[in-house]
Amino acid sequence: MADWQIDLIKVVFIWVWALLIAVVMTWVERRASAMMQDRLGPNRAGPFGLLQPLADGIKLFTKEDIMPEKARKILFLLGPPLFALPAFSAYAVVPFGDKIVLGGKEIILQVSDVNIGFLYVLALGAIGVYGMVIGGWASNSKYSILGGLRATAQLISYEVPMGLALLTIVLLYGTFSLREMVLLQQGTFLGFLPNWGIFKQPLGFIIFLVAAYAEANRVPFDLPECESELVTGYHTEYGSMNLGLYLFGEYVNLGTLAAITVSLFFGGWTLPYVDMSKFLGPVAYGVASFMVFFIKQAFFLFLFVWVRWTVPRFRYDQLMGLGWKALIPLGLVNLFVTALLVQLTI
Amino acid sequence: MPRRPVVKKEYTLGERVYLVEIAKGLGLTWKHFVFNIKASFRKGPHTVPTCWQYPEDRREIAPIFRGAHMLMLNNKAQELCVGCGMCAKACPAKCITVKRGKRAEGEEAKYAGKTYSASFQIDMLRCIFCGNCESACPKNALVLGPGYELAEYDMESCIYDKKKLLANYHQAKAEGKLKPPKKPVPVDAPPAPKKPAAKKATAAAKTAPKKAAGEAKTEKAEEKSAK
Amino acid sequence: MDLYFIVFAIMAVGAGLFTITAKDALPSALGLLTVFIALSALYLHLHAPLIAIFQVSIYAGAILVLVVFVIMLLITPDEDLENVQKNMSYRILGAFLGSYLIAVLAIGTKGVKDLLHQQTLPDGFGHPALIGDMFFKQYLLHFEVASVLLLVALVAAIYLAKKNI
Repeated sequence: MADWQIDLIKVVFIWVWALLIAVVMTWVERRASAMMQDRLGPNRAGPFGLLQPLADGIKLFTKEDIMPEKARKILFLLGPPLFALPAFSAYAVVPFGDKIVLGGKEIILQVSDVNIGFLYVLALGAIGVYGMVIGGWASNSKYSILGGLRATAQLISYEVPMGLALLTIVLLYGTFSLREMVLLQQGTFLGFLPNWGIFKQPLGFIIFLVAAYAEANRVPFDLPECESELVTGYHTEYGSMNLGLYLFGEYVNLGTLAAITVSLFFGGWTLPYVDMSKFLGPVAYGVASFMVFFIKQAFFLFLFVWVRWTVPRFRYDQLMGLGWKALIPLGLVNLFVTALLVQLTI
Repeated sequence: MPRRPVVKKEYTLGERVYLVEIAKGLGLTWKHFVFNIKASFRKGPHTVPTCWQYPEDRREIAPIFRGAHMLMLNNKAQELCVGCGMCAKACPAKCITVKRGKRAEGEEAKYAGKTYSASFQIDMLRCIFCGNCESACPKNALVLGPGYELAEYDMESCIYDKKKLLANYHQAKAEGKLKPPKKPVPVDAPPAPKKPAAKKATAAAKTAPKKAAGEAKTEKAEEKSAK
Repeated sequence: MDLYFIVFAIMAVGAGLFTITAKDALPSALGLLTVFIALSALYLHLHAPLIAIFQVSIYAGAILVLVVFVIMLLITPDEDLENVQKNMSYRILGAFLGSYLIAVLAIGTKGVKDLLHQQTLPDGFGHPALIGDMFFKQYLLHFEVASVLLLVALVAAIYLAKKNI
């Protein structure tokens, strides 16, 4: 196989994987939320209701595409793809496994190991907000425009603490590449803990997680689309598959953020205390490393759902207060302390 | 009324940090989650305790529930209804239409009384399920039964005729959901114990004109319905 | 001239033209976004991924988001900017600033003659670590001057926001 063929296969695999996660997540969200609220959730379509996402997809595809009369037509249609595409693209730098040997060739399980790693993810997250802004503005509706407005303010507020939390990680590992970071998290820390980012940077992890929830527009920070005030915010006027793209992009975003969290703070595909490559064949090792990564990612995806159905929504001033008055000072202090420690230990 | 002063709650540090409280909340939802996951693996349609999966899994209804009407039969499978029209008069929504017919020779096995209802219609779209018809019925022939699935595809089938009302009875009987009769059935009941003659006479004097008036009114109603 | 450069250069110039000619504020801002993205693609082509990513995450992701925020706060989709655009004083000011920028660019073309012969890239060119090294060893003064400038802006912003300190 030529190199470009391998790359193509990797791209297709990651695309399908991202789609599959988003599809299953819609089901998990509804069933798990039902279970947390003493309900049952959709259980009629297929076994355990597993075909419900399919039914939803058919519904969204076959619905009439309604465009508001006074909407800006081109921008209105541009919004959803501009939201969904960056979400998908961010998967390109996710290291979803170590390496696998197929046909005598060693394949690294990552689409591209760029040396700017998660900066790329951050940049795409920033681009994603334009999808919401355009959608909200082009709809020419008060709810949509307020949703878009909130999305912009929220994004620029929470990108700062997120960047600060990530900077501490960069200080710690001395690289931007996600794959190198995961490789540096093997072994143990202080003799008994796994050498994971969370044990070295607990405060950084909390700041990152909170900022990630805000970036993904997830409860408790889903103010751009909060139902009780703005109907559904920036995608109020959307219907059929345009709406589907927005909802889908959100779940793909969740998958990306969970994958980044796992790679940065939870050792990616590595298992603590055990080196899988010693007693597994080259093919089995590749699959096993992917499975380990997937299980860790699945936990964080579930955490997104779990938190959503536990915590009520923040008020807007509380959101801004938390971002600017709590997370940014904390992040700065954390950065300073980490820099000092790194400087002293080197 | 004196207004109570608004006491501003001071949060402790642990509460202001959010994280501890969020962790507590997560614990609570996790408890529910695990409980319901375990419950959903139980057998039968009724798994999660708070959730009835309707078509397979129905709630118990009270024995005196007032649902779809039914026309009762007695032990010998005779229709109890005599077509008197008391129910039609008692109905506040005016949704009952009764037509009386005289029992012909050879129909004794079918009807208990000397007269019977030739047609009996209840407009379920207008019925308010008050139960006045049930208490007005002198023969305990009309009873509001246990049926509550009243949705139909067109308006015509919402007007219950005699066939449907009898079918309701048979269904309720098959399911064992018939109500216990409230008052003793006059036809089959043993004669009431003798009362002092004076009292009985006054009682008869009181009831007789009423009865007559009632009958007259039913006749009028019949005439109306005939028109 | 290779195809990659031509495509993104045309994209950048076209989007730039759209930015200054668009009637509405938000499409104009989106034109600017396209310019930034095309520029970052050109940086990638020049083996400078870090600069490319900063171009996207800082200019497109932070500064332009602020611009868009202000646009959405002040201008509804029904309005257009024709009244503002017809204002003569704005036009004169714009012409003045534009000519100044063009003059700066013209001075910059002085360095073109260095690019005429084939360049050899130093080892590990464009790696984030190398850029950091350069910032803190070779160009420390420039870096610190820029940070002081930002600090001044920050203090000024706080002063404006809080009337009585």
